[in-house]
This record gives sequence, C-alpha cells and structure tokens, in this order.
Amino acid sequence: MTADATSYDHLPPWKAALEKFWGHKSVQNFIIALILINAAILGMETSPSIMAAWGNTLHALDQAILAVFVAEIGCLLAARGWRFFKDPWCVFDFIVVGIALIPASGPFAVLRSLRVLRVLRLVNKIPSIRRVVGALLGAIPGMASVFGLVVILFYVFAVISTKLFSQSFPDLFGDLGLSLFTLFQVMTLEGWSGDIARPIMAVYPYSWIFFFIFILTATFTVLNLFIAVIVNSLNTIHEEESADLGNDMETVRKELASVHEEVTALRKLLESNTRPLR
Amino acid sequence: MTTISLERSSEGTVTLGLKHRIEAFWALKSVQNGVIALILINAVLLGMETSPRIMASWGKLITTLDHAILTVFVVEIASLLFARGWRFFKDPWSVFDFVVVGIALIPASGPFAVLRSLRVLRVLRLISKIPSIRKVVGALLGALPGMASVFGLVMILFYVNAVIATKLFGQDFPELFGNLGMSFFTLFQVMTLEAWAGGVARPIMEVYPYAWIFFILFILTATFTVLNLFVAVIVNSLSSIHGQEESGKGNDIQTMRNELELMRREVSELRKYLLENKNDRV
Repeated sequence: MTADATSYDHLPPWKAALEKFWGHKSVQNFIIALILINAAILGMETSPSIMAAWGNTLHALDQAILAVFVAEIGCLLAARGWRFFKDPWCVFDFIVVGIALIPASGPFAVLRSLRVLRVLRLVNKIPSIRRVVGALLGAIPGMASVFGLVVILFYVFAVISTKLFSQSFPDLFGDLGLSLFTLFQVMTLEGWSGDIARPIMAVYPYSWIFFFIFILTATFTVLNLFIAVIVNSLNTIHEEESADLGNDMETVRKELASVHEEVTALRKLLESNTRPLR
Repeated sequence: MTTISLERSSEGTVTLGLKHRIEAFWALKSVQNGVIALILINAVLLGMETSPRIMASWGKLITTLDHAILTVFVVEIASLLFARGWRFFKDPWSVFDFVVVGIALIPASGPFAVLRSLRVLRVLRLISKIPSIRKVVGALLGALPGMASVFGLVMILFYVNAVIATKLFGQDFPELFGNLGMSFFTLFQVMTLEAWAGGVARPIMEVYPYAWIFFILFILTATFTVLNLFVAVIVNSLSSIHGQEESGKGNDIQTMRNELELMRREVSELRKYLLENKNDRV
C-alpha cells in the first residue's frame, strides 16, 4: 500500500489508474491526515462529557473516515487481487480496518475498543517508522531459537510450580495458565519477592531455590533475546545507511580521480600543441 | 565559551578592540578555572541552604556569598552577550548558561516560588565548563534526533493502548483508567514494571479474566521498543564518540582531500603554463 514507483504497464488500465491514484503522494498525505484526525476522534470518544455534547458529530466523522479507508482498501484489493495479501502491511491494514466492519455486539463487544488499532496504520504510512518496525520484526526470525528456549523454560517451570505450589497457593499457581502468568510476573521482577516468593517460602522454606534458578535463567535469556534483537536490527539499519554512504564516497572519489586524469591529459595536450609554436 | 580561536579568525585582526579582549579574557585558562571553582563553591552553598540548622547560624553569610557569585556569573554572561551580540544565542551551551543564570534573577515569589529551588540548576554549568563531560552530553543529545522515529512509534503505541484501556477498563477502574490522562500514567507505570501485576493487572483480571492478553502484549511491545530506544541511543552515542577518535570515514575524506589538492595544483600549474605561453606569444 505504499507509493512504490513500480511501473503498472502490464496491468489493465483501470487497475493501473487505481494503483496510481492511491499511491499518489498527496493522496497518501491526505490518508495520514485522516488517520491522525481519526486518532483524535477515538481519543475524544473516551470522554463521556465530550460524547454527551458532540457524540453524533464524532460518530458521523468516524464513519466518514472509515468509509474512505474501506474505499482505499477495496480499490487496492480490486486492483491487486490475491497479490494484495502477499504484502504483510496490506494484510495488517485489511485486518485493522476490517475490525470496524464486524458488528460489535454480544461476544464481539471488545472489538469496538479495538477500532483504535486503526491508528497503527500510521506505522505503515510513515516510512521512517516503518523502517524501524521492519528492522525490529526482521530481527525476530533469527531469534526463534532463543524464543523457543524461553518457551521451554516457561513450560517446564510452570509445570513444576503448579505441582509444587497449587495446593497451598491456588491464586498464584492454581493451574498451568495461572502459573504461566505468575512466572511472567516473576520474570519482570514485579513484586516477585514480597508478593510471591516470601509468602510461599513461609510454607515451603526451600522454594527460594526454585525462584532463584527461574529468575536467573528466565530473566537472563529474555534480556539476551531482547538485546540481541535490538542490536541486530540496529546493525541492519546501520548497514543500510553506511552502504549508502560508502557508495556515495566511492563515486565522489572516482569522480575526482577522473577529473584529475582529465586535467593531466589536458596539460599534456597543451604542452604537445604549444611546444612547436616556440 | 572556548571558541575563541574561531572568533579570532572570523573577526580578523581588524576589530581587535574591546569586544575581542572581553572574549579573550573569559576564555583564559585561569579565568575559566576560577569560574569552575566558583560553580563548585556555589554548589556547596546551595547544599548548605537546605539545612535549617546551618541557615540559622550562617544564613546571612551564605546568602551574601551566593549573591556575590551570582554577580560574577551575571557579569560573565552579560559581557559575553555584549561581545558576541546575537551570535551568543547560536551556541546552545551559551543559551543554557543564560537560562540557568537568568532563573536566579526572576523574583521568586507567588507562582514563581518553585524557581528558587531551581537555582541549583546553576551547578549544571559544570557540564558546559568541563570539556570531557561536555563531549559525553553532546554525544548523548546528538543521538536523539536519529531516534525520533522510535520515539514516534512509542507515542503511537501508548496512544492506541491508552484508548483501548480507557474504553475497556475505565468503567470499573476509574482510579487507574478513568480518562486518557490517567490511562497514560498507569500505562507508563506498567511499562516501568512497577507493581504492574499486583497493583494493576491482577485486580483487573478479577473482573475481566482475559485482561492478561492486553497487559502481556503491552509489556512486551512497549518495554521492548523503549528498551530499544535506550539501547540505540547509548550505542549510537558511544559509536559517535568512538567515531570522532578514529574512523575509516576520516581516511576516505583524507584521500579525497589529497586528490583535490593534487588536482588543484595541477590546474594552477596549467593556468600558469597557459599564461606563460600567452606572454611568450605576445
């Protein structure tokens, strides 16, 4: 859904026209403006007093903006067909706008509040942010093995803690799900001692061994995971930039060298031309 | 305030008058050291002012000394302002000095009472006076613009999650997520991991059992991107300090400059040659 400057010659004319229209710079800026306005509207909708006074206007505006978004995605879907779903950013746009179209009632009521996810389209529309997110996400696959390790660690420790502590602490380790949540809390170091480890140690004095080992291994590997992803993504961004810079430098140097040659040749020419005159 | 050599070259030797001598005076090594000493003494004085016991017995003396030091600072900045004119405000460190010393001159009464405690900001002038610290702070600040897009991403994340949280939890937890502002604060608390589970997530999960999805997603994304922001700033500023010391880019530029030098010599020789030829023919 970005304004990539690929040629649309191979497409039927109506498809090419649609792609060109939505890829146009001013249209893209207009969409960004609409996203920002929509963000403000969705923010205002959280305030009951504003909603009491302006509710209808806000709702109408929201619907109008949604209509533009649906038109955009509908057009591109028509123009691209199945290719549309090959670009992950397009799929993201599709889902995020599509959420608003599902009737938000009954069990889907939570979807109404997810309408604000539309604001995340900004990430897609602003190239610099898009690059950052792309680099961060691009670094994740390489970290799959570390992620696998974390999942294994969590699972093993969740099973152990459920077996050990569920009888006396059903609130914290009652079932596997609760254990996983509590272990996540312990990993983030939030109240791990005061709320969790100390009360448990009052019943099971040796449980400190469990918490020590879990914190040391889980926090360490997760921190490792995060920092590795960050450093990798920084490297990608940096490499792209420095590759550009290096190319620039190289061309400048070649340019200079060729000018130097040129001038030397010119001098030789002049010398050979003017000497016979003397 | 140590850019005197630059000023000298730009001003030329024509205006070697009062303005130039003022600049030269304040840039003197011994004067600079004197100012640093005054800043340190002032820091101690402002620290002593926090103790009621010391103030009771030495209050008068301390205030007098503080005013005397302030006078020196004001004279320094005023004379540099006079010497440099508008150029003074082009150096961000000069502006910083100006603001920090200026705070002390605003009458600290009524709504401005908080400014009295901000007088201690004057101690921060040490940063602009000690070159090595100045370099570190400059590198840290210099890395920020490159992080603008990550900061923008964090803002978008916070806004989106604040709206969702207000809509979902505002009704039942008005003291945590009552309006957008409160949601922002609570989400900041969650991001810093302070009591996010015991104070925020667990009470909410008692009402909305699936709230854990929201909190775990938010912690993973927000903490992750903010950590990314911090690490990137640190790494970038480190590499920029490092890059200033030794860099391959510098070598490239060096060879380019050599090439240019050669070319210029060649061209000037060529011109001389042509001129000679012309003269010969005439």
